[in-house]
Amino acid sequence: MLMRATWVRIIVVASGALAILLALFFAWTQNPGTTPTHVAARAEPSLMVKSGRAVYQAQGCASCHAIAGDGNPRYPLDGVGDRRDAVALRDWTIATDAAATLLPRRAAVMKEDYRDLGSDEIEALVAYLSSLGAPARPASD
Amino acid sequence: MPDRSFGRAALWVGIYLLLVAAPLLALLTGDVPAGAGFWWDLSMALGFAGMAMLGVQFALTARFRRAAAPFGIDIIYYFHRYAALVALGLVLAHFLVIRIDNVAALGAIDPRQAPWYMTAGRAALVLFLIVVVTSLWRKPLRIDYDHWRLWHALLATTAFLAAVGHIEGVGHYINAPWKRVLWTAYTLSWVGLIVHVRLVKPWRMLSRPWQVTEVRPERGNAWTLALAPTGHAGLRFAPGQFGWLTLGDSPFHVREHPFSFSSDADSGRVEFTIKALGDFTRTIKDVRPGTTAYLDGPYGVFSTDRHAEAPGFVFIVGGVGSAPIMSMLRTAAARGERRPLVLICANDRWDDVIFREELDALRGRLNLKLVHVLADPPPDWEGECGWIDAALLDRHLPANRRHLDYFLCGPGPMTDAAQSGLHGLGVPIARIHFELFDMV
Repeated sequence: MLMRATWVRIIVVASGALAILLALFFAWTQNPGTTPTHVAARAEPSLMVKSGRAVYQAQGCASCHAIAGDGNPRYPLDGVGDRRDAVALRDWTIATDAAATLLPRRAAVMKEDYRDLGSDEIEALVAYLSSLGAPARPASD
Repeated sequence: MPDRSFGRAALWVGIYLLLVAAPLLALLTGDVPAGAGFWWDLSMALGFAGMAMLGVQFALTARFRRAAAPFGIDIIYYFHRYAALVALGLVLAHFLVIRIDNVAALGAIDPRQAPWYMTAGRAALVLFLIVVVTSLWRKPLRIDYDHWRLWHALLATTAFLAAVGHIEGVGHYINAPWKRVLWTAYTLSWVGLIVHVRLVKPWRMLSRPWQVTEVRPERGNAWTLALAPTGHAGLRFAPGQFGWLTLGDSPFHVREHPFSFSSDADSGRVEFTIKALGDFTRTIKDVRPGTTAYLDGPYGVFSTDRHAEAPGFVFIVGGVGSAPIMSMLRTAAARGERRPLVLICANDRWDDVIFREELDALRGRLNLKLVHVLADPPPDWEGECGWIDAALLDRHLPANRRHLDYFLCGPGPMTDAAQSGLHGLGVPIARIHFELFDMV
């Protein structure tokens, strides 16, 4: 192949490789020695919790939240049921009261949309969130 | 590539690599969000890397003369085409890593249920794919060049803006205000280049109109179009260079086509010799003198002027590929060039040899060996016939063949055959020059 065209290929591949190396470096420095977490097993979920899980899935909550590693890991919900009571969970879900001021503006705007859900659905969702236990530590940790 | 250009070329390559790496380096500085899993963070970084490469794509086609000078604009377009594949690969990898590792995070595909920024990301990915497919396979897909250029710019810009929206909407990594400002400014500056190319540049061209003064028929179904500047000094080009020509249309309509200058570079005359091969070139014969034209140029490194130290030149041309070579020969004759020149001129038929009589006359003014090669020779033809190959080159090239500079211009199969023939004769690759004209 030609000299100039060969140089082009070398430079393009080199820049792609540089980008991939930097991306790998970024992922590696961000996650030193990470190990997967597992949600603590709990008792058989109630009917309310099951319908709350269905609401969670139907609303696409996993695009912003993760549970047991499924979904967006940026805002994990594992253990949220241990950290907040039902009233607080309801506030955080639909951005009311104190939660509205604590949430980033863009998140609050998104959550305000969930106020349009029926009260049954919101209560079911809160029940599901309340049921979420803390992640179990890996045995070696 | 001459030595003096090497430093500048290395500088521009360095700038390119820095522009690609800069967004990723910025991600690693300041307030970095906590890790969210190796594959998740890798996917995000790949997305940013792909976007950085796609952003620079706008700069590559903005025809900045200073940046293109060390390489030749044809190679910049070749780079643009090749880099698009790597950038698309990175963006696809961004999507696929999440798709495989954590499909739940992608949420609903239905735009009525999905967050707007996820839909924007999906739309960007699909549009980028369309842009690449329609560019790589434009001819098999029978997409008209003018339509393709317009849609290429529109779709690429829309895709890029959708991708910027996706990143803004997701918001991770750029949540620190300074990072958000930096990233937004960085990405939108690329889009600003589109404004420069599509609006500022055409607006400047409006103040430098040209007028068609003559449309001269040539042999081989070709026409020579002569232009004269209207109210400005015109332009200076090096023999072998080319320009983008807009004919009888507004420069804002982006209906321009690249053609090599065929006139003497030092004469002040600006002429293109164009063969009727496609939709646009078939209309050249109907152009009336007085028609307004606009010219963006000159561009290209395919010129004897860049190889002043060469002991002699060999030109291997096919059909209308003789246009830039004619500019080099006419300029050489006017300058009183005495170095030995060889012109191997391939055509189908004797009557189709563009500039046939003038080439013959130039032998009296230049130290020029002229070899015609005909694929379909007349019965009484005693010259070379068939195709250009190593044996033919071996018969006609002088003994110091390894030290000469070679200029190849013609159909792809001809330049490929000439190249392999020259390689076989031991001509160093650095002495073989040609333009990747399909790229511009």
